[in-house]
Amino acid sequence: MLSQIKLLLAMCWFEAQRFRAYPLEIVGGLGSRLAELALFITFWLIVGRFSANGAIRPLDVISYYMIITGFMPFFYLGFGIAGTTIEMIKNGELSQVLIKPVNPLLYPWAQRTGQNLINVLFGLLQISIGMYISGGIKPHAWQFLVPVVLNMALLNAAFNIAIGTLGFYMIEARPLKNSLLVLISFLRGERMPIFLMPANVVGFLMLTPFPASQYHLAILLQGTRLPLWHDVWVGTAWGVTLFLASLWLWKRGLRRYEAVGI
Amino acid sequence: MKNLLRNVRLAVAVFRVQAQAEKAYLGSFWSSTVSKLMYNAVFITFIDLLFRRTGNIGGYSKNDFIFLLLVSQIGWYISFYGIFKALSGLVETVRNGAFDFLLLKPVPHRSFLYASNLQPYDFLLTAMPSLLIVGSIIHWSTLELTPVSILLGALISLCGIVICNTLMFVLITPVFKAGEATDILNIFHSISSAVQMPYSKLPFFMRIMSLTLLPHLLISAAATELILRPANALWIIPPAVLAAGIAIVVFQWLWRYDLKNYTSASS
Repeated sequence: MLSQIKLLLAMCWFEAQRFRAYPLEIVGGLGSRLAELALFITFWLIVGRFSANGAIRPLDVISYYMIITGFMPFFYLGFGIAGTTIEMIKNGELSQVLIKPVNPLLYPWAQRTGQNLINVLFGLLQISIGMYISGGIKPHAWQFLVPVVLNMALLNAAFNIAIGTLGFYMIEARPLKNSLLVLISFLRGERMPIFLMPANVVGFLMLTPFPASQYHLAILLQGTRLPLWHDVWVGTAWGVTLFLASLWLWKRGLRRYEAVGI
Repeated sequence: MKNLLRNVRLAVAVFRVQAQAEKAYLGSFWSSTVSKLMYNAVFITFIDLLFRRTGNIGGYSKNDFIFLLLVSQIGWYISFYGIFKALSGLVETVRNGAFDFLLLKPVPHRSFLYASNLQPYDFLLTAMPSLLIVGSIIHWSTLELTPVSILLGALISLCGIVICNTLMFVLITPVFKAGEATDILNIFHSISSAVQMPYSKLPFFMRIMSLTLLPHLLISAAATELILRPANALWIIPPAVLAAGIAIVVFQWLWRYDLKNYTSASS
């Protein structure tokens, strides 16, 4: 177990060395995030300032956005693990991984974490600024933190594994992954805060796994709203079920891969 | 004239090969179509929910905003297939050494690079359905469109595309020396996201940025403003044309400079 962890950390560090070889890539990564932030902040400032009824407070939405997108590299919300898994299956790299003394499910995790190192640091900065703007997590909200973080980790691991498994069944699974990402990122409140949606839409979404996979932690850290315990438990039920289902799908796909190849 | 004909023949040959590839991977074609349809469906839902909450934004009605989405989508597809694909192809060929072979080919290199990555079939077959759907939900009769305003919008969009091409080329220049520019290239996706906003309401700083680092604001927001309310944005035409002219000069010079200094980064 310890040797596995050491090996995965070494892989992660090895992948991060890429930035030493190509330091300008750091500038590229930072430039991307800054451009996105500038455009998003401008959009919501215009919405807040020039909307007919002034129902939206720009700072509220901006801090929410900074926190919710800051999570991206920590929980692989862009389905980067799924993308790496699909590529591994498609180009046959998985066959090499299977004969190595490393868990094939954790291999892309270690690889991706190393490649994401700059995004992790920038994400941390974004979350801190977002919390600073909005006031941050309140003392009475701490009780929610552990279950909400666990839900988020379980759900996003399940999404990444399940979507990565598509690679066993389709040669070109990447576009499908992208379309699922677009849909899911909307349903979990990344494109538009769920608290700005109409009540009936919010009621429906809270019965799905999506808010627990990103939205709950964002509002918790923002400190201006709290998730309901009922919604957190719904997230836990989804998290456990989907995680087990994704492992089952992975094992099933792997059996097929080992038996007949792709 | 002779060069032009040669370029056209080259492009036709490349498109023929691409069409065969499209037919060979039908699964890829369908999933790509679904992906584009999904993006537009989600964005239209976002606009619907946002306008239920806000009424109107900066003088734009919901219908105006869907029109803005259409304009930005057309601009995005043109710059994605015409610029991003070509430059990501360039980065890839430098990385894997194939750029050396391209330079040895008896073809106009720049034309080959752009034409070979254009993918017109992918554009027509996968992007067109979603554009048609977005176009079909716009109430065209309520938009005050004139041929002149549409031409002005197209002109400003073209300026934005020219600036975007130069900007992206400047950004990937390190690939010729360092051999890598993948993350830098991905800036394209960031500068083309969330550009759907009323141009006349942009802060002054962002308007200046639209002439340099954020050209997608010209391609979508300024073009829409010129088409819908020409009086609000006429002032942007001279600086945009000037910026596009400078961009062309910079691109020509940089292309020659990069090729001259190219020392096979992949080897």
